[in-house]
Amino acid sequence: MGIRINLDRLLFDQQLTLTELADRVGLTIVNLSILKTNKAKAIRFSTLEALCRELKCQPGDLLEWVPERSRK
Amino acid sequence: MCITVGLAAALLATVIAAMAALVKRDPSMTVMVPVSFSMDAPTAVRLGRSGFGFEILNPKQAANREGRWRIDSVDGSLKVATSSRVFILANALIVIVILAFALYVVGQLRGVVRTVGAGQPFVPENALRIRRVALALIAGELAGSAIVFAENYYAMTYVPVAGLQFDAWPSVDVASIGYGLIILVIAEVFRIGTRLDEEQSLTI
Repeated sequence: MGIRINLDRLLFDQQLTLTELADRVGLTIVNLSILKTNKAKAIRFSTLEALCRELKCQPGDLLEWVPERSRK
Repeated sequence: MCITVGLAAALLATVIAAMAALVKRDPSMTVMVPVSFSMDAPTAVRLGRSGFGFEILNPKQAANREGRWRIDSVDGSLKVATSSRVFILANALIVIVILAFALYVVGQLRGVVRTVGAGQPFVPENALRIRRVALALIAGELAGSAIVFAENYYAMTYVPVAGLQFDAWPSVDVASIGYGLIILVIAEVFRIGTRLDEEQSLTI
């Protein structure tokens, strides 16, 4: 798909742990890990909204398109 | 589990019987084989596969046959007392293949049941397993017809019974083929469902 989730960087910027973020956005750590490791196939607008709210960022900061070759 | 054990036991027993026939100098046995046939006596009773059929009669035939009936299309088995090693081994081989085939199908179904028990039936392997069962059903029916045809051919050549003719054509049960095709469609629906389920579970 070539879409990468920059959750690590945004968590670091906000000085948050994955557990704290999971609590705040109402997701399980398992689901947040799927998102963080780029294994997710789709993201709901409601999830995106909650993440942007808690990480104080825009969707474009969270999602990044990466050409297939450079992903590998 | 019981079915698997029963099939495995039957398979083992057949292999042992085949080995005995191979080793013994004079292997006399009674072999029961599936056949289809027709009978002339007493009033042209024909036996073979069951089913519906319509025959349009002209007025003369209608007058002759009015009120008459005959049994038509019934399957049967033939018991042959033989010491022919080739006949015994050929039939033992057929039974071994049938039992191995049945074990394979039961194994596939057990795989499906296991995932249902585990609460995760929507896995890609299950679509493949259901597809295999469908193909096995179709192949089994075709192979069964071929076996009956071959047994009829043997009986025609070596079993002379007055007033009884073995069928000289293979008879395929269209319903079984139809069931197989229906299961194939279900397998395809299941495959798509599995993909949707995977997508759903990976939507965060």
